[in-house]
Amino acid sequence: MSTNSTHTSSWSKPVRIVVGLVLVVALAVAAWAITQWIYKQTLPFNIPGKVLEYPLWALLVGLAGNLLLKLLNLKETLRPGIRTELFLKIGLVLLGAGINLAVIAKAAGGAIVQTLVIMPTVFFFSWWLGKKFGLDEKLRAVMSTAVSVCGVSAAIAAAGSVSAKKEQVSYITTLVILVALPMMVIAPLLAGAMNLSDPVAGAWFGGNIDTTAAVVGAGTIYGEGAQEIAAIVKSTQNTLIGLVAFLLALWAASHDPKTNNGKPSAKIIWDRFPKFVLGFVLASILFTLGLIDGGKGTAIDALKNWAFTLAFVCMGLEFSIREVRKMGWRPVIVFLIVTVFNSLVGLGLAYVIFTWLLPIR
Amino acid sequence: MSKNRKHLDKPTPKSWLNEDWLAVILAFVIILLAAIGLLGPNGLPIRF
Repeated sequence: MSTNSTHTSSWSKPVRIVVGLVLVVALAVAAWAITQWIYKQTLPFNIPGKVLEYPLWALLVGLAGNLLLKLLNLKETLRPGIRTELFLKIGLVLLGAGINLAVIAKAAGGAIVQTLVIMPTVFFFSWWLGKKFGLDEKLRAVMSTAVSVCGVSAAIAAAGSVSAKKEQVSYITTLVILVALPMMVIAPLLAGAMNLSDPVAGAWFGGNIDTTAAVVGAGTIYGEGAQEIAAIVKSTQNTLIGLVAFLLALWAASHDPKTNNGKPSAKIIWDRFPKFVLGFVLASILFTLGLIDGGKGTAIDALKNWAFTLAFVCMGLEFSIREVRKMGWRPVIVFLIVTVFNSLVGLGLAYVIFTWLLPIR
Repeated sequence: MSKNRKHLDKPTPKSWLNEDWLAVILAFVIILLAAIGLLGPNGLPIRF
């Protein structure tokens, strides 16, 4: 990074944060303007422009911004202002403010069954396949958690639990984002081609796509009903980050006593627990009780969309093809195979659970 | 760059914890402002 030194390297961190945030907001406004224009268009084959929802444009604008920052040698300087997770979590809490708990109650049974089946299945398949490909144990732990639980947050939690190297975390995080981006667009198209109902499609996106942002994006592209179920299934998985991190910490403690001198405690679970899930549930309770209104067309709903737009812009800005090149290809192959496995198992489970076992409506 | 070689010896990345809570607080500030009417049709008309 010191090789990229420019006059901007002398900027203080608050300045870097503010300038970075201003850039992110400016790009989000550009993405919004493109979205509004596209919504008024009719695409080939009479497809309404509205099918190309805002996450796609926010992402593309973010990628364009990424390229521009690289050309100007400003990416590292402005990185402190690029806050994907922050915007994403704000958006998720606001999303909760428009979800009636009655819907969660209807979907939660299916979401829990789906999660309890798919998570260990995918985790241990990934673990086994990674071993076959000769991957490092810690890398396997981070990758398996990222694919089976919920992407970036899970990868970070798992890395902390097993004391993984930072480069392993960035490796998996980049892979997660790299694969989630096309999945966000491809999964709704495939769901449409298979004529999946909103609950089945949403459950598939929620159980299959690795990042919460891309899950919400895919659900948004497919439809409001799918978005709700996708968020619920993903939130169900998110709630298990703490448990997985705890189990991994136990495993690491027994395998690597020098770097893990502690007995994993309840505090680890609490520390790993994604707090936005609490906000999501609390906001939903307030909405269900009629104390707040975050339904469609409200200011909260609009700000939710803005928060997600900002998150997707940040995802585009953070994307790094160089990281992928540095990593080599074996873990990429394992990750892709596991992703396909996850997709197939997830689709089958979502269909069986939300069509026959625990259908919604 | 050498920092990248370090292990994550602190199992709890505090910055993520803080960002988690910050997101919840900011979201509830927005919800509160909307609930008391400062955001919305009778206040600042935010649209998407």
